[in-house]
Amino acid sequence: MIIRILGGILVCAACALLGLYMSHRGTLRARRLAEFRQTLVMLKSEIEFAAYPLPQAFANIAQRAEGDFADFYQELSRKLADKEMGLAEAWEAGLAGLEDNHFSREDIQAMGGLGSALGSIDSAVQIKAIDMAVAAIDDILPHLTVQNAKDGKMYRRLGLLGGALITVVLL
Amino acid sequence: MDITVVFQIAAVGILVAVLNQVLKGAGRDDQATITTLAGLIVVLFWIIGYISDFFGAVQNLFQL
Repeated sequence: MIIRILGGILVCAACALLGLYMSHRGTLRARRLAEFRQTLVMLKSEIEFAAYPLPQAFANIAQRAEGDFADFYQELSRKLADKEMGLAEAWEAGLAGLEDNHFSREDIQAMGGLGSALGSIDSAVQIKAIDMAVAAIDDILPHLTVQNAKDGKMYRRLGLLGGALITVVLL
Repeated sequence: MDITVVFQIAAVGILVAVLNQVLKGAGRDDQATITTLAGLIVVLFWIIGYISDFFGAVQNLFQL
């Protein structure tokens, strides 16, 4: 009987932790989007004011960005400098790598078109494309915050109740 | 009949009712319905043997 009770407590704890993780996932997505927005603003200033070529601009951002965004921009810079592939392809490949890290498919699709626009020779087109991507993120973020508050509460409760339900069914 | 089944059914009923309210509160009515149905099916699996015994007993009692 003691083993059953211990098992029940473990199942409850595991489900509660799963609920906490699920509630935290939305918050992480919002944070990552805000960080990505920040890197886009940096990219805009690199193109608009410093007038660096894209490989150099990406390398500069890689030095200032954090975590895997630094790797993303570093990899973009390297691929462009080595002429390994076009900007649109490199951008899409880099974004696909970011998908594992709390970005949703919807976010990746919203940012996907930016690669080909950035490949344009005209810096005005590049800046407009960055502005559009930033505006898209600005559109997503407020909805995401409201949704996170609602879903977070639900996931935490579902975790606890689901754990209790599984325990009752298995006991 | 083991009395613990009654308590288990009561516990499942309470938990499914609360889950239903939580899901409905979050605007997920479809999933709330599915949860309720799942709870009903689980409880039916538990009591189906007892229902079968009950009908057997009625048949024997009235020699049907």
